[in-house]
Amino acid sequence: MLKVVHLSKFFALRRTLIQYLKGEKPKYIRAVDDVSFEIKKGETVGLVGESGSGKTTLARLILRLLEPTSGEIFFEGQNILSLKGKDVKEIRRKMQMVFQDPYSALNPRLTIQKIIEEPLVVHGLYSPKERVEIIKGMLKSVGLNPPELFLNKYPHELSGGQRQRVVICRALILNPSFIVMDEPVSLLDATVRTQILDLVLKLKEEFNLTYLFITHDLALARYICNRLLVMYRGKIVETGETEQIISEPFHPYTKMLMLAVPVPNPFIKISLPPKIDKLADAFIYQGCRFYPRCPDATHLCQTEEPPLVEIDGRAVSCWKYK
Amino acid sequence: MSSLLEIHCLKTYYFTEMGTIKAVNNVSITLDKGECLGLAGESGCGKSTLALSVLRLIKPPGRIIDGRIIFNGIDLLSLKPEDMRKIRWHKISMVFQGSMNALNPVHTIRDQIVEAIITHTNYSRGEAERKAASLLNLVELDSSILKRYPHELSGGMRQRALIAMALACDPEILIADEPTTALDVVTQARILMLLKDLQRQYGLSIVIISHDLSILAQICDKIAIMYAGKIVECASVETIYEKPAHPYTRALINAFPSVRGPKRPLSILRGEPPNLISLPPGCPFHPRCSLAHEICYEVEPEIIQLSQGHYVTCHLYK
Repeated sequence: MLKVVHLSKFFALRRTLIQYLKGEKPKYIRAVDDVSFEIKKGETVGLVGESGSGKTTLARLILRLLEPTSGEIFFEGQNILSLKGKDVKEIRRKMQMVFQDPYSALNPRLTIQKIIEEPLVVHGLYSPKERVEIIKGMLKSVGLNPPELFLNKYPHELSGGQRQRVVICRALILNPSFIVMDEPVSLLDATVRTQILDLVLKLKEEFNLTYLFITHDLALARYICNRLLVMYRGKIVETGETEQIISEPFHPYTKMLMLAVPVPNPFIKISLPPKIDKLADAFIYQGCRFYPRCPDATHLCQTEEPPLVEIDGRAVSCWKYK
Repeated sequence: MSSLLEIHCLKTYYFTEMGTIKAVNNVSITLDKGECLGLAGESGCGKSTLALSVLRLIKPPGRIIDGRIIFNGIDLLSLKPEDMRKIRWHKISMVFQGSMNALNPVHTIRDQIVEAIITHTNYSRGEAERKAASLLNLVELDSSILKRYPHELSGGMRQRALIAMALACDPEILIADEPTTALDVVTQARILMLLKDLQRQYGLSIVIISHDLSILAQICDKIAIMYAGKIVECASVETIYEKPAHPYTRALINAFPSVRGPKRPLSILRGEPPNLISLPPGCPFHPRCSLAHEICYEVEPEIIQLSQGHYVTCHLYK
């Protein structure tokens, strides 16, 4: 369904006047650096990484909210970067998003009905009467029942969980096939979180959806995703089936994450390797990105970037694995 | 183990135009010397208000209307403001929620820590500077960060700087409200380990407030689960995990997925956290409780002791 090929997004830092006059080249932040992966129909792929890993930038690139520096994105076989005008609009019907903050995602001056109706209006679909029926049906599907109770409310009158349900409802109203979710539950309370995750899983079955689920929470990703992509500083460092990675992480970064993620069990304590922070210039992109923090790093890691190699249906980018 | 802090039947209400919010509604709990207590619960359960009540930092329209807070034998609620000021920061200190983003952006870390020390002690500037350096050492920060500005530090470093500030007067109790929110996993782990070290090495008594049972399971000795302004269960961390008695505790524990062990299904608790202005009669949890029966709709449950150190507020255990 989705294929990303050698995708990169570099952000240039502004130079000072003196630097400019001296003819110094601008420094770049390589937010997304030569990333390639595929998502097949029906999958729930988890993109796991810390802040600064590039996962949100990657999400924006896929949704064409940002233009890439280089690389290609294919959606249902089409190269979406070469599309213009109403073709882009068509793609936007099929690809939707659910982002982190359910409050800022909803226009505070519109009623719930108007919020969910907006995409239908923009795409010129159905008559007003038909729209109301469709909206009511969809509100029921996301658990806002009876729908009549919610149509005329404003976002501030709803709880966080209810707002996120509205966001999901709006994302589904155009019958998309692919949804990108960026930290959709991290701002919600624990018990509400499980309700929304449960909803997301049910909707996947009901509407035949494919998900890209972005999160920093490895435990959450394990619960909902069948496959994981682990990202670190703009690169994908490990991919594979979720349970494979969880039971046997290959990459030193994934291993570190697995040991550091707290578990709701007082008998299993987290542990960390001794703090290693070799000096590294943030803007010199040479060698493995994880070198400054890696307990197993060698000299090769400092100078040469390891390629993503496939092992038994998984992939890892680390010189320990050839 | 002697009790360092004893809270008896505390009630903190907010008297708003829309009604009275019973944020802390008859809470009793103790903190022993050298203990790490976790206050767990979702938003609106009253955990932050409870912490602010201990430090008497509740502002109108909130007011502590009942109860006693006994610290080292003295009821803090009976103290005059000038005497309470000698308790805050000196004996009981707090790292507030989100404070790592509230550092003054135009002052260096040195200025902020030194100012905190001078404000609360009689130290000269020189003595305060030396104290600042030793505090940074305590939280494993290099003294080179003293000359940096907050925006130059990572989230984890800022949080450590705040913990250092909170420890400036060598308090006996440190209250940390959501100390690891917005930090990435590895940084979070380091902060938790730092707090545990401070508890072990310096005998610091700690209260950690969090909605995340996973992090509380890591470092707390005792956990109190709060719901709708009440403590519904309180026990050692092992007991809470192995023998959770209250239906809400069970739901909360099962709401956190785990990366270790086999993949288990999460339990789904239906409904929403309650509206504290219009609480239902009887047990505040009954609308969401799968085990609720008639008495739960009408009568508020009392605290029952299940075993040594294990208390639950639920009709199931009468």
